[in-house]
Amino acid sequence: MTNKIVMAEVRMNREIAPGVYHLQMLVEKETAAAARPGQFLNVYPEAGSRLILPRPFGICSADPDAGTLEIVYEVVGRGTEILSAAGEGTLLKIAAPLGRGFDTESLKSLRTNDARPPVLIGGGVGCGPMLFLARTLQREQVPVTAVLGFRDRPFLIREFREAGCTLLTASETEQEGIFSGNVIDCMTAAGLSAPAYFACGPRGMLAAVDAYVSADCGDEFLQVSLEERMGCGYGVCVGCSTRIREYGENGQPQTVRRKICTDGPVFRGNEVIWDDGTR
Amino acid sequence: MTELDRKAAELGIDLQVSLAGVTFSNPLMTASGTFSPHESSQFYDLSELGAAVTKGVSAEPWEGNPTPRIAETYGGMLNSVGLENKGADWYRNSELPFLEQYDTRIITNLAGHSVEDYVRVTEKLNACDAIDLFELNISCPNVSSGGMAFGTDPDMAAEVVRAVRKETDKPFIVKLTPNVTDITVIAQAVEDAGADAVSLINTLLGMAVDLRRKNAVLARKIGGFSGPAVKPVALRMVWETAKKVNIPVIGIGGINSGTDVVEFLAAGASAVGIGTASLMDPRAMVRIKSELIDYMQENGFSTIRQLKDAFDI
Repeated sequence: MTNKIVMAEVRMNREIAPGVYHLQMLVEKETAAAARPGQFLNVYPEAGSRLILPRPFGICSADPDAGTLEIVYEVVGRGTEILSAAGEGTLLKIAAPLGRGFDTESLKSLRTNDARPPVLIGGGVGCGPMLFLARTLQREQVPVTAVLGFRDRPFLIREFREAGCTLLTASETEQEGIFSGNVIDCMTAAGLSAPAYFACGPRGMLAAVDAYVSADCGDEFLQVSLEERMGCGYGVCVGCSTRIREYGENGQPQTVRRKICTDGPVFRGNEVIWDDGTR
Repeated sequence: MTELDRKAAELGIDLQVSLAGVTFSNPLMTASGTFSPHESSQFYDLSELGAAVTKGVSAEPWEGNPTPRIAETYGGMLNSVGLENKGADWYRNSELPFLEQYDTRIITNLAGHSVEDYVRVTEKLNACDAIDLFELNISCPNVSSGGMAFGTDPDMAAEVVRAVRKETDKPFIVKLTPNVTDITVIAQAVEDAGADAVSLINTLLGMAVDLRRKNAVLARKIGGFSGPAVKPVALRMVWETAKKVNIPVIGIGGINSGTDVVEFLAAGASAVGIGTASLMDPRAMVRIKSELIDYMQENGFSTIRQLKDAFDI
């Protein structure tokens, strides 16, 4: 039994765009070493807060040598509001890492036939998990193109550059020097084509990315990280389930229910039933 | 022997309880829908449990409700999962064999939309020796037919209990809904119909509004309210019910500490179910068990019987 519930000490918690925070926490080295891109962590509310449920956040960086984990989050309610006020030295009870992350092994076989860089697409705070993936791929010496979309001011740009990415940045509000529009407009304008795609962001964006990738290389080569309101984050409450198209041994698709927290949050594009009647 | 059982033994404390002819190493049970054998076992040794009460299982797989299914409220939460489960065959072939490795009692929570559904799922699982007891869920507020409909009408509750009684010799618990005028009437009806124990409370019906989306938070609009906020309601109902019926009462509702357990035992519960606390803290079951041992040590109780007898409510 590995102990996934650990205390983490806040090292940095900085507002990097209006309402968006970048938090770095110090944890045991084993915890940081266990984290993979696409996995998430739960932050448990402190006893006095009157909040009861953990908040799930995609991990945007893990450094086993320094023993650090990082998240990027937006203040959307009371839980994230309280977290945004956590200063250096604050102790957080967390569970990490949780969920099933991106499969990067499959890139190896792909790349023997096609040297074009894979494309990483992030929308808003969904850029966080993509940064973790970009850094991981940089270590494996895989060149990467990253497409980042924002509602307003961009963030994490410097970090993506440092991760060696070729960068395309888009914002839905006019920003100096970056593409005006959403990530799909941006990818279309650039005529982007790749053998594999990875994406994290709002469900609407992911569905549009799926359509784009389907027309390019086929959405079996897209991996997306889904988001949902969660209760437990470790697979017991079944609050975050989604309809998934599963392909059996005979290749025939079958619709099943899967838990985003433990079966995901990463699924292949061709598995996701985008309009699953849940919204 | 588990770590906490050793701790109790060293202090001369015996946590054992028995109900419905079955002995349990301690009075702590998971509450259905907040425990999953594989997943929970990543966080603690399942042999620490008095009983592992598994998530509601139906004869065939159920899809459950649309998402969002979860909302947080002041001191509690709402859920509208709707008993999504992979069905009795999957339960028997995948969940049970895993759970059998542990030294704990297994209580299988059964769900249905109709009397026939409850009978069918009982038939499918009755031959499983690993199952010590069934728990009949006639109180889920999140399914549109069956579920709570059985738990709000004494005649219908009695009918489903009699039908299941015919199918099984295993002892069974009936889980009751608090969404009734007088829960003791339903408790007496199921006792008369042959239930071996009752567990209460299931969730209270509740609602939350999302000001940003200008809609209810839950896709199904309403859902079951649980968590620390419901504890006083649950305690009151357990106390009332324990006074009225002769079968054991399993107290459930907002338990999140060792002293919460003590309160329920004091109010007449023979054992307790712990639910939402396991969402708030995956290790809640063992933390609460440890706190219960501490309480007993500090107050000089060496058995659960002694503890219960010390209260006169």
